[in-house]
Amino acid sequence: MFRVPLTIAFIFLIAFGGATASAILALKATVGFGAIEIGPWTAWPEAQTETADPYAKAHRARTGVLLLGGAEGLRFTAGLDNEGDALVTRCDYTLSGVTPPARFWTLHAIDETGALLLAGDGLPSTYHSQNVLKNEDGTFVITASGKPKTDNWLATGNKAVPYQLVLTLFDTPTAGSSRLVDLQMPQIKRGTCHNG
Amino acid sequence: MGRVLFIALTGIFGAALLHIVIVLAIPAYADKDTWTKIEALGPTEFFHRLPTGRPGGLTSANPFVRSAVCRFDIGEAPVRITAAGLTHYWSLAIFDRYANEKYSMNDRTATDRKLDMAIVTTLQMISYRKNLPAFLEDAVLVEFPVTTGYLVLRTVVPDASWDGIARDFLKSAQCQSVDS
Repeated sequence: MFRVPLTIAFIFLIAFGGATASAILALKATVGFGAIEIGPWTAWPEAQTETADPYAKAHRARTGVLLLGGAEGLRFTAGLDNEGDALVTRCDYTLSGVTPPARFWTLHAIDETGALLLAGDGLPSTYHSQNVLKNEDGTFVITASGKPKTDNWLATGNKAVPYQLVLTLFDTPTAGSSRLVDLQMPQIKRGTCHNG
Repeated sequence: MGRVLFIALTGIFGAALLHIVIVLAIPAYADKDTWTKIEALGPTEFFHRLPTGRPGGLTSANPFVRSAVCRFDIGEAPVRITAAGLTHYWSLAIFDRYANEKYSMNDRTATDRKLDMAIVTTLQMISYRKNLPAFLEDAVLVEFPVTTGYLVLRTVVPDASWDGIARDFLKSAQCQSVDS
């Protein structure tokens, strides 16, 4: 005698539960469509505009962070290395190559909550285009590691956590560029990993 | 068996429908979007300097960026934005209250690298085209499609010695209603 109400109850449970869970998952997993992907680096040049897709609009309404305008800059993030493995602090990574043309760029690491990755006081954990050591041809090599390295060392701290690298280009033609395939971003290659 | 399949299929169909409704409705019901956070900062037509990278805050964690935000209402009079001082780089973006970018510029696109701008409605723009006040002669006039919105002014600090300079620049930034 409870067959019909039970059926309806189950349908509602699946519908509401599934819809809520999938919406939260979708908004956590991605900022939306229209991403520029260069190797492991991803950026959303349209996320702050009127023409952004509904997922991008929902995402920015949930996070409530002021996004960079088109003439201001473009923010690239990478949570994976070139092989597609997640970045973790117990492994070393070398970033090598060049960035797309920009007047100024900055590099820092963030943890899963989006806060700056704590590396310890006084350790070099951030770089920008004017304090990074470059080769004669303008390329650079940065080593992200928990242990001290020579040349450009990006300290990632001793706590074993996954993290993301953020490379922000300021005043760059990249955002409006239609030649996206030609753009070059640094390669992220994994080095040795330490246990414990 | 048929009943289980019916429940599963109907449930999934309903979930897909509701998923779309939820995603579309979030911007209208979000309680910590940028507009709500900016309203909580204080008065309109005033530059609020923002702390960098506070969890749940308005700015991202980039340690080299300093920003200030100003909420404006140009329903009655245009808003004029000026700032003075040395900077390594500055950029500005104007958004409507739904966080859609309407205009953005940086120091290279500004006249003389100086920030001098007025945000006006279409009607105000028409009257300015006929008769532009002398003090707005050098200003960039930006026509804004709606009356309320906010703008973000950003500058960068390549190293600690720029901290004070960036602070002075953001302190000097003004966001004021134009009288008459």
